[in-house]
Amino acid sequence: MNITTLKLIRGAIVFMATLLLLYGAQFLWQKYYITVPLNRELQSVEGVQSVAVEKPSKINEPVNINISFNNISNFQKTYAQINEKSVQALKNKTYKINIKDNGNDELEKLYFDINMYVEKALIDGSFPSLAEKSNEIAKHIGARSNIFIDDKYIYLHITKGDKCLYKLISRQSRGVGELK
Amino acid sequence: MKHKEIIIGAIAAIITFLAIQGFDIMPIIFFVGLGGILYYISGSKLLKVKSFSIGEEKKESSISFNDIGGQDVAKNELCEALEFIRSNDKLKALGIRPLKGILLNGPPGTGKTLLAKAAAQYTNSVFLSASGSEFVEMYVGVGAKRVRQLFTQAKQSAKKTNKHSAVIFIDEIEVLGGKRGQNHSHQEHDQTLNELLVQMDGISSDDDVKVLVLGATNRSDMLDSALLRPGRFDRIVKVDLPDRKGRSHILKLHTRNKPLSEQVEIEAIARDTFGFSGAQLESVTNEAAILAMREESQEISPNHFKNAIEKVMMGEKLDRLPSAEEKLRIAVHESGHALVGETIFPHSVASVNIASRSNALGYVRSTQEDDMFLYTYDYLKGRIAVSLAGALAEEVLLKSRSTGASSDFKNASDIARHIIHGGMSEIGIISVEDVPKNKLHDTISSILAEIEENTLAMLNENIRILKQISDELLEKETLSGDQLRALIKK
Repeated sequence: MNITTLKLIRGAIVFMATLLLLYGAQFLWQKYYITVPLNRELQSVEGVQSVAVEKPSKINEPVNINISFNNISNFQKTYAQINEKSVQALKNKTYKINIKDNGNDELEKLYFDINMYVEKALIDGSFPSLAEKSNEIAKHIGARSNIFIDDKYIYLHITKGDKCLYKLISRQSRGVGELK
Repeated sequence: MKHKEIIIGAIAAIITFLAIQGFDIMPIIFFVGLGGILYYISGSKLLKVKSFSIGEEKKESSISFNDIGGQDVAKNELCEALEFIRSNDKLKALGIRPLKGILLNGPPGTGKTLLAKAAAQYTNSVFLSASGSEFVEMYVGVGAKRVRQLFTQAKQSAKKTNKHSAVIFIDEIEVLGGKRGQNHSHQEHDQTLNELLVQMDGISSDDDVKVLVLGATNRSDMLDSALLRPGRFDRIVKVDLPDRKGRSHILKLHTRNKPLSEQVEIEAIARDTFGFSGAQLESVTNEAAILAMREESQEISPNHFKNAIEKVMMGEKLDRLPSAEEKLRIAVHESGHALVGETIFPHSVASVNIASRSNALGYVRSTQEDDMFLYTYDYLKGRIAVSLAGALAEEVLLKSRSTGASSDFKNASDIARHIIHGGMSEIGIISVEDVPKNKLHDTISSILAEIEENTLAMLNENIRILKQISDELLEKETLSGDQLRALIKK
């Protein structure tokens, strides 16, 4: 085996070893720096049923936090707590909260009906009438609608029997969910 | 750079990882590529900027004073000087200023560099060596900068290796330390020397690292007087050609690892190599070993040494063959030298050769029982007679002379000049500078003419023996001293 071949083999081994080392470091970092502390923090929030943290495949991608609720009475309060805990656990890392619900077509249709009033309220600020109208429309099909508003979002929580639908409507950009 | 492949492999893996992670790696690739190109160009001759640094640091020197033969006086002198470095505390107690420099002065090949290396080992110092010519550069100020760097490097290296002294050895120091003011083109040369003087002045006993400058030269007459004054080169150690005892020691050192036959007498070889330097003696032992190898001999015999001495002295044997007529003339010429040499100085001829070597067509190799440093009038006259005998033998046997004797005549004239300068000629004691040229010429001629006449007479008396020697030489090409003496006795 000549020196050039030996050097090539040595270079290739170093290449593989370095890659292995980097991916190993990334795995450990994601597990012990992101997933474990985040799970622990979010599980402590009242009303949170389950938390699933998706590790990002790329280092600069946001962490996806999939979360589902038990019966919650105040969507806004729970969401605020989740946000707060996420910031605490992830520091400067970006994240995205995906709220899982078990809403069906009927609730989706109801949301579309309410959405018109939501859009109107966003334009003219008629939030009191939005709450009235949404309750009224929901009652028609035997459902219940709770609307909470803060300076960033409109929190819409619709329930019928054991089915729930959570919608987070941005007051600025219309996106659903928050990207920090 | 060592293990380049490891660095390249690691960098490639990091770039790949970052690329997979979605980083924008183009700037990284750009800079790494740029770095690679610059490295390649700087490695090639395109941008090979000559470094301005100087001084090669030698690893632990394995040469000790015991490994150097034939320089007992120089060794003792140097050892004494080096004691000042070894026992610095005693020095301080007695208020002795440390030696700043030692100049080793002597002909080439006498072991000046070896002495410097041994000095470094003796003092357990960092050893840096540089050559005087390394300081010479076409850029102004570079020489001085190199001197500064050399001293800084010596101190830094000593600190790094936890040593308290450093030896800077500057070979051929006359290049750097030649007399100032002789170089009219620019002052670069003078600046370099000035810097050396300043640096040597800066050495004091309070320094953490003691720096000793060892200079070596064979032209101490060319050195600037400021360099030779006490406080710069405090000691001037004469490293001369070894005497017989020294040669014997050197030969013993160089034959330590060589298989010698029992007949080899180191003392005899030492006797045969008068005027040889240490390097030449090393060459003799080496050539002898090569000759033994050529002959596929397991041991080096006296004959190998004899041939090796002749080779070192006269050069390699030539394939060029002279014509029969020329060969006869060479044989007669060398027979003349040999006969007269043996007659005037019995047992002085070691061998007579007519095999051409690179430096002579034929030659007579002489030895002497003891090294001589003083010559008498009769001895010198004898040497002249031997020198003239070649041409005179040609005249006696072949009735004509040839150009082959010109170097003999020059040699004879030089000896005659020595006689005159020594106040042994008819004109008595003279002032060499004031004696007129024609007077000198006349005296040389009269000395040579007188000796020529006597030598011619001697050859005519022994014409039969001369003929015999030349015939024998023609047949055998080489006659040993003993064979020659046997022929003369007949």
